Formats: sequence, structure tokens, C-alpha cells
Amino acid sequence: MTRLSVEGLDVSLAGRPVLRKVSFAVGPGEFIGLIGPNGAGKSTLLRAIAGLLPYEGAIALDGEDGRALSASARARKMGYLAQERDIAWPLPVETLVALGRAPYLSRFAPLGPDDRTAVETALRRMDVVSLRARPATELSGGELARVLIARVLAQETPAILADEPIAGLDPAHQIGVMRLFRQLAQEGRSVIASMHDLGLAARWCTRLILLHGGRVAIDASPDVALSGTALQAAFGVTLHAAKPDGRWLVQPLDIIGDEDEGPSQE
Amino acid sequence: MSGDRRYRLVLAALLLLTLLLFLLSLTIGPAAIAFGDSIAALFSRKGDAIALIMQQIRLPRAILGLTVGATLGLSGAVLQGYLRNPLAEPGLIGVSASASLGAVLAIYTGLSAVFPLSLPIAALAAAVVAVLVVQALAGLQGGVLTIILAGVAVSSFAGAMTSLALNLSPNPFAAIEIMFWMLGSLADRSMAHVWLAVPFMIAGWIMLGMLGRALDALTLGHETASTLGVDMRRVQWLAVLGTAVSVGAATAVAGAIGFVGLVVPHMLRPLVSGRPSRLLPASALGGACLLLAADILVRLVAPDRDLKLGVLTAIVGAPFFLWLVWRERRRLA
Repeated sequence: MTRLSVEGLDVSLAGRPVLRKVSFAVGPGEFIGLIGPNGAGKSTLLRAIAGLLPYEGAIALDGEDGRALSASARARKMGYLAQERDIAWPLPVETLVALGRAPYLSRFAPLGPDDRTAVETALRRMDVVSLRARPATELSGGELARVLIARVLAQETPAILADEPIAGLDPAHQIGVMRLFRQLAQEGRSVIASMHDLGLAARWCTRLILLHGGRVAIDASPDVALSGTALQAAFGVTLHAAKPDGRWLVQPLDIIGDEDEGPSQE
Repeated sequence: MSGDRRYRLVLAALLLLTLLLFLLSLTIGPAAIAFGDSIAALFSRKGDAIALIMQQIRLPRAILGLTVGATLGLSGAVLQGYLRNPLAEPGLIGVSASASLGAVLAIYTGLSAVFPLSLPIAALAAAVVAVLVVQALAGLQGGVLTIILAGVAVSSFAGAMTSLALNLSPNPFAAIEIMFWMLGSLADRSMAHVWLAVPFMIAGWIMLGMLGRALDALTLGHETASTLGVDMRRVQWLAVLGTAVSVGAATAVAGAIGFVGLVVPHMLRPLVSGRPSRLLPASALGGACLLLAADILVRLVAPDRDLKLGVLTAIVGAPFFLWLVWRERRRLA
């Protein structure tokens, strides 16, 4: 079964081609790590799938053409976490997380019991229950990042797109988010998250998609992706990759072709 | 949520205050009429002097104070929410300046001297034309920034044309009439003004009132709101057209009254925990309170000098806004 399929996707921004003939499919239970150097088109790909950009090619959600979906129908199938974390007004955290219920509410209806349960679950899963009454504009960067993920969780969609969800988090919360996304996938959802931390991506994702120059360079399990040299070539760095405890440990070492031998150990 | 009870309390208090100020507005004027008599005269069918004063002079003035104030408060809250900017106000999209231009042209051409209602009609028409221009410039794909820039351009052009009318005015009396009209006032308005403007204002309120949930989602940004199922093109049309119709009608009968649409949402935002959907009704009531109070004040402070309402709102509003900026400067930085 395919939840999301992307077929021959071309996207141009201001006349400049950013994505070229991108194709892949995602099923339930998958946690995709979307990786690639800066400017590779990761955010553009996520925004196009979220229906925020015009594109050529085809995107289908649960077999339905993405262009034919109404905004509210799409919002019940797919949640999107933007890279931008700018909150306009000092809403309390609880109210902000409850915005994730918007696709399910009619115009003037208040939150129902199901909505409240979804909000509570999301607050708990992201470890932000204690922040519930704080104005969102007064949180630290990491706290806000977790609150915004909770907002996406409250939307309870089968598919989740997250643009750099772990940027700015401390190591414990980075691992917490990766573990949670893995759990969501095990529950049958599909998660696509862009990230720069290759170690965490290789350790937690079920599959890696490497974008390079607007094309899919690798679409494979972490084991396969790390066995070749395409990953090193795309990022222009040498990588140390090992599986000391049966799970991947990846560390970028040096810029390829650089004369400098790295930090001295004296 | 404990915020729910406080919200209902805030609305109830504002509603009560609006009613009190409305009644107070009815009892103030050069003719000394006892409170009981004045209220009784509102419903009298005798047609005596008191009934005439109440029904033909004070009632339209109070109704317009209420509705114009509510329009400015509501549209200010909607535009701040839509543009995600606490400095937005109804004049930003060019409505006030172009409505003023329409009115000034009616005075300049002498049309308003022959047919008084041509003034508000010309103002309203100019406001609608301005907004169609802004919408055409911003286009269906147009973003927030395009709307602001188009609004600034339309405002500047309307301002320049207004200056030209003053520049070329046939005689000093016409120039003074134009100047006074532009200062904004509710004095000497009739029930004809009420019947002309209020239906448009209510139509605008309905459009703006439908935006609450979309504005809440917009707290997270335009893209995120759109992935929450908000149809941004529909929101843009409702926000811009609703503002044009309601503020256009308000400006058409009352002239340009500044600061209410800017200050009221600011004052009330902390009381509704910053939530845009809750700010809409609160701001509408708050705007009505503020304008009714200001219109009472101009009659009390200088009963014989015809102090203009727009002058007072700016004199009180600007320092108050400075104080708000001073208080919030750390958060804004």
C-alpha cells in the first residue's frame, strides 16, 4: 500500500529549477530521513508535498491526486511542521497546540472531548505539559520547537512532514523526537523529516532519501545508503560509519580534498 | 480552560460599558434635557422639540458612534491578525485615504452642497474602487507584502489628489469645509447617514466575523495556516473586502478617525491571551466604547467650539500608543 507517491516532480522557484524529476513512494510504517547538503531542495520538496508550491508532475495522497484535494481534506491527511518558527501572538502553549485541531472543527464550534484528548496526548508525548499555560512567545528556542511538534501531533494525521524538526534541540530532546517519530511510524503512520544530523538519521530512520542538486541521489535503507560513496560525494566530506551496538554511528571527519588534517591532538 | 471564563467576563464588561456610554451619549448636547425625558422622547410620537432633538440629532450621533467605533476596532483586529503585524490598522490598505478623496471630490465639485448624501456615497464608492485596485495589484497569488505596498501606493495617490483638490479649491470656504471634513466628526449627522452607512458596516462585520478561526491559525504563519486547511485566497478576499465595505462606510459618514483601529486591539490583546478569534468581538466592543467616550468628551470639553472627534482621538491616541510602545519595547526588540 502506498500512502504518498511523488512522480516526476519538477519545481521551480522564481524561474530557477530546484527539483528535477523527483520520484519516490512512502508507505505506512516508514520514517524517512530526508538528507542533503544546503540548497539541495529538501524544504522545497516538503513544501511542494504539503501543497504550498506549484509543481509539475504528480503527487498523490492515499491514491488521490494532490491537486484535487481541498485544503481541509489535505489537512486531515497530512501535518506539516515548517522550518520557520515565528509565532505572531503570545498564545498560551495549550491554545497553540490546540490549533492542530482546526481541520476537524466547524467555523464556530469549540473543542470537543476528542480534540481535548488529542491535545493532552500531544502535550504529553512532547514533554511540554508543564509549559501548557506559558505564552508561546516567551519560550526558549528548544521549548518552542517541541511545542510546535506537539501542534503537528495534535493534528493526528496519517502522514507527517517535518522540516528540520530537531534543529536547535539538546541531545536528549533530539533523541526523544527521533524515537517518537519512529514510534509513530510503528503505529502505522508515515513520517518524512529533513535533517542535517546524519548520525541520528542513520540511527533512527527506516529509510534515507538523499537529495543532491535537486535530484534523488540515494533512496535506500541506512545500511545500503552508508555502504557506498554517494553520501560522501554529495556532502563533500569523508565519513566514519560503524555499527558498534548494532545501530549506526556516523561521524563526518574531513572535507574531501582539504589539505588541513583536522584538529591537532596535542 | 480558565481563559474561557475570563473571556466571557471581558466581553460582558465591554458590552455593559458600551451600553452605558451609548445612553450617556444620548443625554449630552447643548439642549438641557433631563435623562428620563430624553429617553422617553426617543419613543415619543408627538413631534415636539425634545422628540426632534432626540430622534433626529442625538440618536443618529450615538448610533454612528457605536457602529463606526465597532467597525474601526473590528477591522483593526482583523488586519493585525491577517497581516501578523501589531502595527496594522484599517488605513493601511488604502481604504480611509480613498474614502476621504471621494468625499473631498463631492465637496470640491459642489455636488454635496446640492445633494448632501452625495458625499458619503462618493466616499464609499471611492473606497470600493481603491480596494479593487489593491486586490488587482496583489492578485490572487499575491502575498501580504504586496497588499501593504499596494495599499501604501493607493493611500499616497489618494492623499495627493486630496491635496490637489485643496490646492485648487475655488474659494477659501470650500478649502475650510474640506479641511474640517477630513478631521473627522459625528456632529450634525442625520438618520439618513445612519441608513446609508450602517447596512454596509454590518455587511463588512459579517465578512470579518467569519475570519476568527483562520486568524488563529495564522498565528503560526501563512504556510502553516494553509496546511491546517485555511483557504488563504478566501481569507484575503474576506479581510480586504470586509474592511473596505465597513471602514469605507464609516469614513464616508464620519471622516478619517485615526488611532482607534490601531490602539484598541493592542489594549485588549492581553485580556484575551493574544488569541485573534477572541480579539475580534472584544475589539469591536472596545472600539465602540472608545469612540462613544471620545464623542462624549468633545461635547463636554468644548461644547461651543465644535472640537473635531478625529483631532481628539489622535491627541489622546498618539501619546497612549507611545506609552504602549514604551511598555512593550523589550518584547518588541
